[in-house]
Amino acid sequence: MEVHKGFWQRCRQKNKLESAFYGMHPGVIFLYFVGLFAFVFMWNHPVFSLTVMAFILLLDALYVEKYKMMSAFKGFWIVALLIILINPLTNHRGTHILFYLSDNPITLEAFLYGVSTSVMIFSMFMAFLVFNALIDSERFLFLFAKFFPKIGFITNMSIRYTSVFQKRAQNIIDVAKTRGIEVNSGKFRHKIETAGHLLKALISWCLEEGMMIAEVLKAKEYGQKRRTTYNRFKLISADICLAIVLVLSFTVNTSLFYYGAGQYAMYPRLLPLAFDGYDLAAYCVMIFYLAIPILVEFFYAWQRRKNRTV
Amino acid sequence: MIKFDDFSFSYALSDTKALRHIHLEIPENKITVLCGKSGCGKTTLLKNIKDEIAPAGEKSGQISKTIASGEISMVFQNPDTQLLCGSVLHDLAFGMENRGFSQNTMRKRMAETVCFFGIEPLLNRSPETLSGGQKQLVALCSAMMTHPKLLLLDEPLSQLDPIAQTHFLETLKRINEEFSVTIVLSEHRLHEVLPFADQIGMMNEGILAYYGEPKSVLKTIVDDDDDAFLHFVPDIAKASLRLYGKVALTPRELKSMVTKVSYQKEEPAKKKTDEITSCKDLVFSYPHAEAYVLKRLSLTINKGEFACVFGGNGSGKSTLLKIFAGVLKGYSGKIRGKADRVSYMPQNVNAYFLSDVIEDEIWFEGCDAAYYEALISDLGIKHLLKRHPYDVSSGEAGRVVLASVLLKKPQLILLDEPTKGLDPESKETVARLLKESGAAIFMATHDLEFAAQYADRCLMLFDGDVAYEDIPQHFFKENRYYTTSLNKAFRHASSDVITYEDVLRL
Repeated sequence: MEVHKGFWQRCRQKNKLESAFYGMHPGVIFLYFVGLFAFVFMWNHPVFSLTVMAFILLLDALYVEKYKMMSAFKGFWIVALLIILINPLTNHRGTHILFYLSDNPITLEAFLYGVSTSVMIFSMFMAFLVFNALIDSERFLFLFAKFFPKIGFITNMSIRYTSVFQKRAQNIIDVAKTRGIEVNSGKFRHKIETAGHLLKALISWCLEEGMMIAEVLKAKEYGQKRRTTYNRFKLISADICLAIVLVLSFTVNTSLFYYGAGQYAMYPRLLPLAFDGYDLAAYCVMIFYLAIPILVEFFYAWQRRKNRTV
Repeated sequence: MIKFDDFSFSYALSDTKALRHIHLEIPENKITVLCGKSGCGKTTLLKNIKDEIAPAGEKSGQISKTIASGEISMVFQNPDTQLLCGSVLHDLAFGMENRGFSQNTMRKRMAETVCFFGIEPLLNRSPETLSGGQKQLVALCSAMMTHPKLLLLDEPLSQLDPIAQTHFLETLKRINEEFSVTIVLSEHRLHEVLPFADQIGMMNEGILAYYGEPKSVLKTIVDDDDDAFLHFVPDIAKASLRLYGKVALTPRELKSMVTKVSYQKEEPAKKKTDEITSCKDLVFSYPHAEAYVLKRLSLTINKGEFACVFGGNGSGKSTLLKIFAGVLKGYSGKIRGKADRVSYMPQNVNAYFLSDVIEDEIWFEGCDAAYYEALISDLGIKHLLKRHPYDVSSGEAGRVVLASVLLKKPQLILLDEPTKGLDPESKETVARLLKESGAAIFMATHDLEFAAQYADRCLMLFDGDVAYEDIPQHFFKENRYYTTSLNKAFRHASSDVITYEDVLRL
């Protein structure tokens, strides 16, 4: 059966652990995302930014659950609409006037600028989804704990206790209900009072636990010496190779950017899209960079297949 | 290893002494158990041993130690506040990280300790998804990572079910035997702990009243008829002392003493009572769960009866109570004849408290003033009325909730493990008050001895349904594993012996 699997199926593993790029060292994955986010903001040439968006959507499809993507789409269209509408209303720069709205010129430049801004924000938004999928809280902490050991631990603790306190709140509401105290009944004023009462109970509970936690921290000798951090992630030569490739291609891209590649000015006057040699070089390197996760998946899928036949 | 020499201690801003003239030498490589009712000073004593957590207050006398503070680890009572990170692995590493261990040392210790405890499958899980017993085991494992020479445990078992308690104690025993780690443990239920203890100390109001080898201490208490501590003597030991003049700590020891007993309990007269509420074909499951919690469960609660429901962790006891309390709703099935006044006591009593003062928590406009006075004095919470509910021990908090529940004079009382954390003396009072209230009582519990003594009916939940139910006399008689320790010891002679009262009638 495996043999008949298409390229896409082989790359998109149901279990995240089976995907090769997820298995890389978190530092390398983080490095990739640094470049990716830079690309979202660096280029304002429409061809470039649309390509970046396309690749980000491809990554989303690879690593993010469908329902998360759908809810992101649902949440985003209204933001995009607002940006596209508001920019031309408040910004009247540009020379291509579409029409007048009570003496105010609505320009094509401002409209297109709104569109490109929302493409940028959309790309960033969707890139964060992949980022969250590939750099989960544990990996994030690992990356940060090195530089800020205390902040790392505190973040870790907050992640745990946010959900604990959510459960607590539900627990308090439930028990209060059996004592005849309901949050969702009565007049508005009454509702607010009850909610405040229950919130106070929750806070007392949390503070009380805070005291116990403080004691546990003391017993575990927290803050007496400089902390070290337990490292679960192993750096292997493949990670280093990939890191070098990432850094090299990113450097090439930034230097081309420095020479004006991938730039397109909408203000003060919309010009026809130009695409010169620099642009083409930057575009090719950028596509290579963006495709790295897919190349990695493909490489390992190919290797797996080769190993299986032995 | 640790020596208390005429040590007294009083908390800052407090007039009374929490510890009075303690003379105690904790022997090396032994398991020492400190016992006494809630608030007797056992926790204060433990905390004074480790410098980092020694409470602020006035001290007199001396504690001399032959080990460094870094070689002492502590495990606390509440499993929820000990695991602080998002995953078990990070919690295990936490203590080592704080001490600045190198990467290699951490990896090495982690690998071997986790193997010893057999908790590999838990490593990537979030502490929230663990059961109480698993959490406490992880806390113990984490404490062992730093290779302590002395391990302090403050009522580590009080929030665990019996199976988890035994597992935890067995692990402690192995730690003690294999690595000669000295262990000091505080606990108010001696029943499970005693077979593991080398030394016990009995405390009351800050005084170390008895100290020594378990059997001799228990014998002295029973011989002296010392009312303050008699409640703490496990049934097995009481029975063996009464019948054979020797102390037995386990059912096996007692069984070897029992020769011939002829005892037959009378069949109680069948009472015909009206039902107060019942459920029929109840189905329930939590979102995203893989199995049903309750599966077509039907049961009836009768007027004025005392029913106890047993079952392992996650068998649906709490869920069932919540459905009767109206907090949760079944997917299908019916609840018939809802009682007028229903009171519910949650498993974690902290969820019950809404006021700043205990008095406001219990007293309400239009309550029965005489009953109120009787309740607070019987439950021994009169001196706590002006305090904040969180300012009292877990046993005292439980009694406060019971007072509040009873004062409303409900027809149906739903209790979720009310005896957890209660010392034996309070348990008796609580049982008496519950019985006197005349309400129907439906209680989820792991406390077999308590149920055997006071319940009218016992039910066993298994696989989402009531597996069997009966009056305690029959319920325990037929069980082999799920029965009281006295019954285990006597069953070969007469399986009717279930409670200490039965022993008195022999």
